[in-house]
Amino acid sequence: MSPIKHVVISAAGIGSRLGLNKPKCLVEIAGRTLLDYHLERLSWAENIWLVVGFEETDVIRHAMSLRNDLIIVRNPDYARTNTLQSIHRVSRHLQERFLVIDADTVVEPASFNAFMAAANECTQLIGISRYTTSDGVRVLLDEAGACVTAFTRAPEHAWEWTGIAVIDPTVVVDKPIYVYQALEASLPMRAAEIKAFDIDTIADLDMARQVLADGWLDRDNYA
Amino acid sequence: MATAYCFDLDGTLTQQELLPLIASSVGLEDEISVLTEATINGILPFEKSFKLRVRLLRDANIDWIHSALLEQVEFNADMIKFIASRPDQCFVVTGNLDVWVKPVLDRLGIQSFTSIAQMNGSRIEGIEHILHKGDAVLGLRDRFDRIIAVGDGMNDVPMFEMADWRIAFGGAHSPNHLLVKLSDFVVNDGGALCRLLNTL
Repeated sequence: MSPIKHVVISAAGIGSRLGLNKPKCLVEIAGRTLLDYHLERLSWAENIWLVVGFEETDVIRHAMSLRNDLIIVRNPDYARTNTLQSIHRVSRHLQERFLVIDADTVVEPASFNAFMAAANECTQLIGISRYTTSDGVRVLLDEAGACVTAFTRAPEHAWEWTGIAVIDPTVVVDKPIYVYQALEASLPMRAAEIKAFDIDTIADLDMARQVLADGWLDRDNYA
Repeated sequence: MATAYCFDLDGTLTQQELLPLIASSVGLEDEISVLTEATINGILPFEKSFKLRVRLLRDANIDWIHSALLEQVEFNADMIKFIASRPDQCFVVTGNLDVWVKPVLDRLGIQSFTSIAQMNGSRIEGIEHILHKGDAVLGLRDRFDRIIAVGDGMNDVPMFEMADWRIAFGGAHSPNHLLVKLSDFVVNDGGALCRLLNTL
């Protein structure tokens, strides 16, 4: 597989459920913003495309102070569009597979590196996590546990879609649907575990603070 | 699909703003910087401010200006490489005065759109034409299907309004706030700019 040259971080959304009146990528955990953690973990990436919208001036200023060679992509329609459409603002220019990450995600670095290594073995790869959240989208796996066969909102399933994936640009459509709905057309897709979850609620934020303070304990240790 | 790349000059293709360099060659940097600030902050329209600046600087020896620019102006190596790879598709679009920036444009060696000085022999009498950057973009439309504009200042707004893709560039300083609001992309680094241009 050719190495991954492009990373798209979507950081345009309002994060209304968290109610902090600041973009989620600027939320601080253990003294650093989520964006700090992402850019540190992605220091190898040749091209980082950061899609901004809500409070873009603050996000741009902080992001550029962390890494000056970012490509900032503006999504002025952030209030009326979703993550898929933010990603599309980049993917429409790309000819090769890329890594996509939600900026509001907490990620454990070693498992992320293992995920990237696994992405060298297949064209597309979906990141799945045991760190489930209250309103996360779950995935169903095949018998071998190697491929995602379906996405579901049913909360009883053990694996959650992380919003992290290596995908081909043709998968991304400019439609008002969720990212996982766009991926459904390509199922089954290979899956690999990442210790990660996105922060949508105060409970998620509490779990993020705990994993960063105490390390990533098993999911059962968190409320 | 034929693409034209339109670059602002001061602080975009060059790593320094040129008017302060021109002003310092005759010791008027404080006066010029007041006018530049007033323009950046929207207190004085670009056209009026530019006329005033030319009025202040018109008696400056053009050879001194040229040697100051030749000595002090630097380009980003990645951007020079990009331009050299497609010189017929790259254009300088600058409101600066043709006679002043000539040595800088000569070094770049691509077609340019500039404001034009009204000359009396080797002396600047005034301004014959102030470039409206939107007109420059419009003039390229019959030859190019797609126009990508790169700029940093308020006077790049008309260029952005007429372009298909707009990149606010903060190479020398943060790009103008309004220009950012009109842009598709914001980039601070010359290498990143070229990687973006090569991808679009």
